[in-house]
Amino acid sequence: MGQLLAVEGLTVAFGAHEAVRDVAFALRPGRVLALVGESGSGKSVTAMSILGLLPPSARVTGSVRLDGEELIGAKPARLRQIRGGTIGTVFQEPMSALNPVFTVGNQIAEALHAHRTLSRAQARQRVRELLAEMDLPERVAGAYPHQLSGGQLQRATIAMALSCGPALLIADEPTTALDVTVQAGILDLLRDVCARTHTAVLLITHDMGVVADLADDVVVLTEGRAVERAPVHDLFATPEHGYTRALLEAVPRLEVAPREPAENAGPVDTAMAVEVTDLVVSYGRKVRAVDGVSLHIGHGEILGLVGESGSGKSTVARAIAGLVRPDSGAVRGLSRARTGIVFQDHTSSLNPRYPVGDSIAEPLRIHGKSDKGRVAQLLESVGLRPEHARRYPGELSGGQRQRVAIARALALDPVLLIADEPTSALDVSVQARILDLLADLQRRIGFGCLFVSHDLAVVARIADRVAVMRAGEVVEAGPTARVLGAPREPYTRRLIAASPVPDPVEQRRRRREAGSVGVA
Amino acid sequence: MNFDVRKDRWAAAGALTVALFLLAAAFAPVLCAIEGQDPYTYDLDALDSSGVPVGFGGGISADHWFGVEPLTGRDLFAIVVYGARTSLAVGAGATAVAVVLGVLIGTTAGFFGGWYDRVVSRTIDVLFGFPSLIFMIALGAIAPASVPRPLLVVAVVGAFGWPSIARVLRGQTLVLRTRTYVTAAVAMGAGPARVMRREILPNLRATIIVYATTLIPGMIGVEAALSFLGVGVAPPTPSWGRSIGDAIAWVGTDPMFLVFPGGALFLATLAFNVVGDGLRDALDTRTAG
Repeated sequence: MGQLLAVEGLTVAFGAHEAVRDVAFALRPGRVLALVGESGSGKSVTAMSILGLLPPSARVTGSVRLDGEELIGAKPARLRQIRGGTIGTVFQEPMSALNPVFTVGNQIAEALHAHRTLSRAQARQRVRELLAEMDLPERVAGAYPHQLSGGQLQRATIAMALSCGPALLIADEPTTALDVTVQAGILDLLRDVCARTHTAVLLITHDMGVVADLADDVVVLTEGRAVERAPVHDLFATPEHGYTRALLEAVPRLEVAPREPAENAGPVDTAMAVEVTDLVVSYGRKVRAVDGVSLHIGHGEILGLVGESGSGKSTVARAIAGLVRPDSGAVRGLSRARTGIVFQDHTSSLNPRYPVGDSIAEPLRIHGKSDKGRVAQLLESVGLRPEHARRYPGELSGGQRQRVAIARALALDPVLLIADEPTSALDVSVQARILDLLADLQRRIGFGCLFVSHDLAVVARIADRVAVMRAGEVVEAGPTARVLGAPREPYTRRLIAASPVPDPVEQRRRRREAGSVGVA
Repeated sequence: MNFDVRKDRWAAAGALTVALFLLAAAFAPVLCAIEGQDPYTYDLDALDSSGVPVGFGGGISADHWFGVEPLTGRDLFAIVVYGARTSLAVGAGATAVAVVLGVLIGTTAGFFGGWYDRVVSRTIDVLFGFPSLIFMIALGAIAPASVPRPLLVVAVVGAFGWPSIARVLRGQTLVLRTRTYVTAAVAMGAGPARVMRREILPNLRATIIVYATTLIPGMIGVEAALSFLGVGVAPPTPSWGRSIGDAIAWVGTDPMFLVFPGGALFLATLAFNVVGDGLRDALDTRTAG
């Protein structure tokens, strides 16, 4: 058989609610199995039940065998041996997975000592080897977590997970918090580890691009059920279950289709909604977050502003919204009352103490306008019902909350809508609907829109023009098809190459190409 | 909000006790009229020649439900229920002063930051390390008699009580200030006063209620301590603290003189603490979103 991990009939219930229902899958050494699903699908609960890390309120039934040994109902002492020993784990947030008051080397050594008897010199030696295997410089051992980048930290946590030579590595959204160029490196590293050490990897992710890039086999979960199990090529080529097909269709792709122009916009709309010239914003004395950015957005135009974290794209958005004061440069064509803004974090963008109708009416009240009938009208325009006005944010789903945030941003008939990563915290199927809604509203109402995103595929789907930012500067700007289809700047090319596409065949081809160009 | 104190038996018992104390304080004259006593009249007939109460448990009888005070023969039940008035009024008043100061100072420090926050934070540090009890004793000793004692105690105890709540609210405001809905309000053109009133304060409500409830027993305790030391409310106004102070000398001969005011103080502070804990569980602000 050679099966390392065999899960059968796994059911996890919290009270009457079954978070995972009758899930089964198997994993062989040296293979990567991806558990794919949207939030609430039960993928993380499944992983936690393998590790025996669920809260005591969870009732777990079924069978999880690791190398023939039953883990469900195993003694806590035995599970502790297995955790970090036979099973290594990598979590989403490398910053919170490491203790900020100890050095990275210290923490990896700690993981070693927990499972083996080693002298301090041996442990130090092993830490050095592990860091070298992760392509990390030796100085990382003596560094504290805050001194390292997100990518370096994630490499360090992988080193920690691999320190005791586990047979199985559970990676729970290992690259979700990272930039695409960094993600590409981590995925390469995981692939390399898997091939070299014959470690099996259980990959938990929502990202079909990551699945296409790394997985050998895929289990698709929705609402706690495994609806499809297939080798990765079959899954992408011939998805059988309706849910899998819908999921794959919702994934935005880096293909550029010309958008219909806004109805209100004339054939040549030269009127600027907003023009930004030579914007400079710095935090403190030294850090220039934005360094001489010039942009313009026309009425009825969506400008996609893309870049990795720290590129200054959000700061540009905040400067235009009047939330940060620029050191120099000008923003022309706007008053604050004519700007609406939608943020990424749908969990805290609405005050939990008020019904959402109040939140939508707030901008009207601030500017002394009547909100009579307007709230209901706004709710309908974003695809919600007037009754939703009385609900509290906690009673709505993430997608609904983001719709409310859009309604609030549109309350004052803005000339410019600023959308700062509005879909990054949403599931792909919800993201697709929100993007459609934004595009549709923009066509109907004809506002200019600054759409900030780290995701090239999302921008490709919605923007008329794209500006690419790096280290506070715009490195390339132009029509979406031109910039993403025929990028002139090496950095834009690198970004595009690093974004995984949801197609394993295409992804393999791109990887080979990228390898020959020398992209990390 | 999941407001269900009834689920928690301890909190329910605490709330009932608090309610009984409040009722007793409010209806002290009525209760004493039923008993037929008042806290000021001497009853030397209830004492023997050496001033010790005659009879079982410090002179417990149909006339004196809790017995009488040694040396004076004043009715102990009347002293305890009138003492509840003093303790609860001073406790609530001092808490009100502390909460108002704490909310004003803490939220503004967290919201505006900068030099103002630094001044406030250092002031809080200093007040935490300040020997406030000694200061209060000194102040009580030198304050002119024309200043009404209860008001002085309320003002002084309240003025030293605000740092803890201010520090907690400052921290929470710092967190709330970075919430996206606050940024969104600023982006919509809301001014600081509106952001404070509409976005920040409603989210601090639970903390303020819980903190106020848990401050009350401490304040009652401080009042009792001051009265115990003879610098609290002036005699003959009944006070648990002063009765306890007086009772220490009689513990050997008349232990019940200590038990009744001491028990009342113990029960009241415990009840308020238990209610505070129950409220904290019920109002815990881990609401979704």
